[in-house]
Amino acid sequence: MLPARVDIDPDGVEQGLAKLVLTLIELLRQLLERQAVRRMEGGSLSDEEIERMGLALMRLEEKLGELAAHFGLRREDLNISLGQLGSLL
Amino acid sequence: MPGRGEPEETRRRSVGFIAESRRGSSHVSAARRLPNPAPAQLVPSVDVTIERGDPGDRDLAESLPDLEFTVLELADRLLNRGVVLVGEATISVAGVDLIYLGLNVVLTAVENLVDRPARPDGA
Amino acid sequence: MSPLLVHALTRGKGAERPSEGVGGRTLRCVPGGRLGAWATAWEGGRPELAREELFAHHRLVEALSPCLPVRFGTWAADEAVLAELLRAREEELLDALARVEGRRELAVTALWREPSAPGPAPETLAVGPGRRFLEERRAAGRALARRETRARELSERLTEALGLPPEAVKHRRCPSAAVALSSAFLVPAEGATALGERLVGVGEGFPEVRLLVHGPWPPYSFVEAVEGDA
Repeated sequence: MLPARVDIDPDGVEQGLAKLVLTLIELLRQLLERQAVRRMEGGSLSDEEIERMGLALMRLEEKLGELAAHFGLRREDLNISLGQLGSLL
Repeated sequence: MPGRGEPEETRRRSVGFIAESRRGSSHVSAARRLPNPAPAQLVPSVDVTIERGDPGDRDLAESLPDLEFTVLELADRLLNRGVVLVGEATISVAGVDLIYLGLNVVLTAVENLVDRPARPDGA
Repeated sequence: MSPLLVHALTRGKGAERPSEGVGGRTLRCVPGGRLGAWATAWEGGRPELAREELFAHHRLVEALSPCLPVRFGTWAADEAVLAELLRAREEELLDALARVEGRRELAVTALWREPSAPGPAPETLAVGPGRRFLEERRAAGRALARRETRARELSERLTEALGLPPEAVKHRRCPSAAVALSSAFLVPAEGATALGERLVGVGEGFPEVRLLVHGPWPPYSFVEAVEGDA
């Protein structure tokens, strides 16, 4: 018997990779967002800097959504299961 | 059974739980088929669809969300818990490899892997 | 070739013997050392597994209790391989079985009654979209933190209510937007239902969630040793 029950499903492979990559980007995006909020609360940034940061993060979120949609993934799909440890995000 | 206004969902080839409560998607992790298993998790090959209840049945409306979550919690346990007999390992006795275990692999004797060539249908 | 879909492991031949496997197929008990592995013999090779098989597996695990449930979707090429596996892990598996014999699992799902949607803070109305975005995220972050604290309190009250040792309790706090808590408790089979009712009682002290108690079930969540639970 073949060791692996390999299903050659090209869309599946592509989607699997996209999901992995986009999940990691989503993780970074969330971390960046949290960091931005912290810096904003910290009071060391000017209004202009805060506005620019916010706009950049908004665009990043939009872009990520577009990329995900391109691969037929929804926002909720961007997650990695860590088995009994729950999920990454 | 189709949910309100949704097209009928027959069994999907690609996996996992599809359960959308009004409040957002389920926390139950989706089990995906090979060849894309999440590296940290062994994933069995399963195709399970949890359908929404029949919206016409008002008497059940109250209990439906409960039932949905019961099914989700149970299915999560069936797919992600329990003794794992399969993994990435080789069982050896006195230095002799006897059993090969690979992700989502049928437990098979090592000699079967080595001696027999793969059949064209992949069995 | 008849691959075997493995359901559960028992001590020897177990207490009860169900008459058939999934879908009326032959159910085999494969002995290995002091254990027995129960599996459905599938003629004609492995099929795609779906919902029917999933719940048929669950019914078999129930019927074979007390037992160690095996993860659904585990296939063995033949009996020899399965027997060898049991022998190789015999001690470990017997220990795992001893920990769950006479015990059942209660599962809890606590659902938030309100979807989380904090309104924008008044001071954000006069600022640019970038800042408003960050202020909204900040408010959402705080709301989430409050929810996580509440979920933690609930998990602690539930644990206290049953007075179980730590290894018999598993919590997943805020696993998703809708769910405050998803937990598993390993309780004695005798009186498990009454303990479940006690949990429902705890839920009444947390009006912002709806508490659902499921089971008693076979001890799915307590058979594999895993380090560090979420």
